[in-house]
Amino acid sequence: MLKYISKRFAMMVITMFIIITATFFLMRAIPGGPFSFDRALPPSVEEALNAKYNLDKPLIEQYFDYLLSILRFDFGPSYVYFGRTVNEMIADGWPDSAKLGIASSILILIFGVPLGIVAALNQNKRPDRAIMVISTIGVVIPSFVLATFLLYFFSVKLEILPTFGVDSWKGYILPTICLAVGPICGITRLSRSSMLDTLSQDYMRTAESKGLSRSRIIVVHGLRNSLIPVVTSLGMTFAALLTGTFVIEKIFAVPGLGRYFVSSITNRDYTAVMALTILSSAIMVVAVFIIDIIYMLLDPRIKLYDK
Amino acid sequence: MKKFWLFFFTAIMIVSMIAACAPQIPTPTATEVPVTATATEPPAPAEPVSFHYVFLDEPPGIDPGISQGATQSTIYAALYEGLVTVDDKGNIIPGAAEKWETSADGMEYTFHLREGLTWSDGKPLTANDFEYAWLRVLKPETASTYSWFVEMFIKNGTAFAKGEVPAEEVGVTATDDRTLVVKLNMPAAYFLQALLSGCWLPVRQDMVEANPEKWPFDSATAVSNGPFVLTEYKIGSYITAEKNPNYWDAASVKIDKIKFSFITDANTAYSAFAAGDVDGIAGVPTTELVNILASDDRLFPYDQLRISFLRLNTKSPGLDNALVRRAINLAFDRKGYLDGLGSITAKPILGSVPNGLILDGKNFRDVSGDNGLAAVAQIEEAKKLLAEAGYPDGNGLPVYRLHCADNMVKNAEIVQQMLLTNLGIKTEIKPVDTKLNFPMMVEGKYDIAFGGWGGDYTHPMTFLELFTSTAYDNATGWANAEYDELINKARLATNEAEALDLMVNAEHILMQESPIVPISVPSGAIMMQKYVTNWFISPSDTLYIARAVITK
Repeated sequence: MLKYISKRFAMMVITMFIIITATFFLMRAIPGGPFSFDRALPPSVEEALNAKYNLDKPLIEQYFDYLLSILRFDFGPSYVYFGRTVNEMIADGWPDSAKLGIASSILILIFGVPLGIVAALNQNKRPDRAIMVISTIGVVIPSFVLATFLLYFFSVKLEILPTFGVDSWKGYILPTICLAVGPICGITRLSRSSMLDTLSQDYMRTAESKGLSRSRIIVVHGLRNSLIPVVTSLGMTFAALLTGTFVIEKIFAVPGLGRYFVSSITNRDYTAVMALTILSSAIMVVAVFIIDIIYMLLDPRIKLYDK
Repeated sequence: MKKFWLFFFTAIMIVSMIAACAPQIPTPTATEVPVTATATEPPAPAEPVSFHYVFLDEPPGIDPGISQGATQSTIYAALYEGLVTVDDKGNIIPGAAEKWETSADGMEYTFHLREGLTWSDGKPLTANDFEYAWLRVLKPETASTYSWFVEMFIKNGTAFAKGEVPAEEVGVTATDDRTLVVKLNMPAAYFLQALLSGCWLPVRQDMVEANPEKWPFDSATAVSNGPFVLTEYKIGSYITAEKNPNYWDAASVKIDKIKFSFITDANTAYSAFAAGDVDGIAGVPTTELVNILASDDRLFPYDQLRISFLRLNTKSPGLDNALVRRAINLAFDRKGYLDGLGSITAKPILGSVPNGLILDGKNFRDVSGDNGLAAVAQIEEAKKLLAEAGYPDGNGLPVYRLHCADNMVKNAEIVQQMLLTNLGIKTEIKPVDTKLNFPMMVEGKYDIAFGGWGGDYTHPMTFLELFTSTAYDNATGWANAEYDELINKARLATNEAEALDLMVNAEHILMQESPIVPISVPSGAIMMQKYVTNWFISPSDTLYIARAVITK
């Protein structure tokens, strides 16, 4: 177990190193710099800006400087927002994104898996049909359509929720729902089919013939085995939700991380792109790691390391 | 090892997902004729009067010496006051300076500050504060994107920026606490208009030096001299400010608290306005514009201080012939283009200077006339020129690269069709990343490209000087000695009538030679609730809200 974890940890560090290196050079390979505007800057100003942000050094030197500063968790100054460091941007934006991410993850957990299991246990009966119809609709409706509709209905028509921002807790309600609906429906469908698959397995029939109670069969044998694909999907979804989503944050004017992701690419805000990539990939890598451990707990047959 | 590849591909996927994200450009706004709303006297307010306005973008910074733009200028107008300011008719009026004199040759201005001016923290505001602020903009280590603007006007500004002369020799000197003497490079009659730009605003030396990067964001250091003073800057969300009791004209400021929110989604901003959650918004969703224009009298459209045009690369084969360029200019159907885009508020333009810039009491556009151009295509005449140039019906011309920003492909398609139908000129559309569009033009890697220019001050010069051979933003390869000379003479002219005459001649040459094909004056539109009155948008696109009256 310890050997396994240390091995995985080393792998995580290597992965992160590759991500950092690839992003750094890919970003610089995109033509156009942070200071190319729709009008030309006099050369003296451009020089001054490049000197200020260390962009006048050779690329390889910039790379090693950057690696060193990352080790100190210093992501450097933003190239676009004057007078802000990327650390501050993350510290400002992440709490809002994370709150939305955690809230919607909880909703997904509460509704997604149980609904799927209810549907599977009532296969082709009324509850199953209802759940399947609703979840199909939920999967196909894009979140921005849902967001616009909810915004119009609850904020403009009924005027019971704010039209923008997260200044009060009420501001979180609509974006959380919009973030959660798609994944809930996806997880519902996934856990239904996974549960159905498990229910038809031989060992389930064996358990039944041994005279075990139905609830014990379903919880101990069914649920546990059917959860494996669901856990993978859940882990990835949670990881993605934690770092914010562009569309929902933009529509509800949530000052989170998601919108920086897109705008910093457009603006060639090198340091912000790097930091956000590192952050989200770190979360993703950790999520994969945790998923692997959960696999092992769910099914001891899954081998996690080479003998 | 399998797991390693899984990690590796996850990494690659994340990286490529990021690289694939589409860019977007913020739409800048500006104006020409002041949009105004006047009001009756307000009732005495019992509780704090607040005003909440929404911008559709968050400015990259709010340090007046460094960052300029339409959004910033509105924020600066609330927080600061320069030597001069502007009234609702677009006239220059005294600001921090109560009066000023100009020397006979127009090269020297002496500004006299009002008596007893103070900063928001109560410390006295002196002429030294202006001197400090202007020198700061010039210093390379400030890395101001507007240092060129100060260099253009102030004597020895460029030499100081290069470190060739000491600060004492720069043409800005505080001779005493209330007197600022400014020496110019040229007797630019438009200097007072130029002073409305944010880079001339006073900043507090001790605050800036205490925290050079972050002073504008922190209420402890964001000391200002305008009607309001910053109380909070929440990154990505909003700015709040409250009335500055130390402002010299605080008595006429009727708003106690002001909030500027940043909502980048125009539909959300419009919903907030429609629901009555905010008092004004800086723009409307383009898809809603037609409906709102027809049904909502809270919409205030205005012409921007801006023109859009096509650049023709005068180094490209065929386009190096002025007859071909003029033919394209004549055959361009401006009305058809705007109709094709469904643009209902933008206006066609028949020169390089927008309508409404006044010189010697005359509208430049009226004096200069239509340059032989029309809102619709003049195909016959254009075809004659093209034949004269040796390319009848476009035969013999290469297929031109038509560059556009990647969100303007539709615009490019209209132009492509127009050039083909009217002149037989073939083009190939090349969408270019917004960050690359301009650098590629400067390097001449295009044949025909969309361009635009926003004026830096309300004077025809700001739209004419960019086509001189030495201007950074010319980007057409066009160089005309006669044009350069006319512009230089106009800069030096002390008499407005003479300057007007010179600049009109210059525009005639520009349009005859046609390195650019002027298209339109873009429009902006803001929305403001009915109960907000006595605000205005200045000719240089700034919203002045300080003296607004709110009668809810």
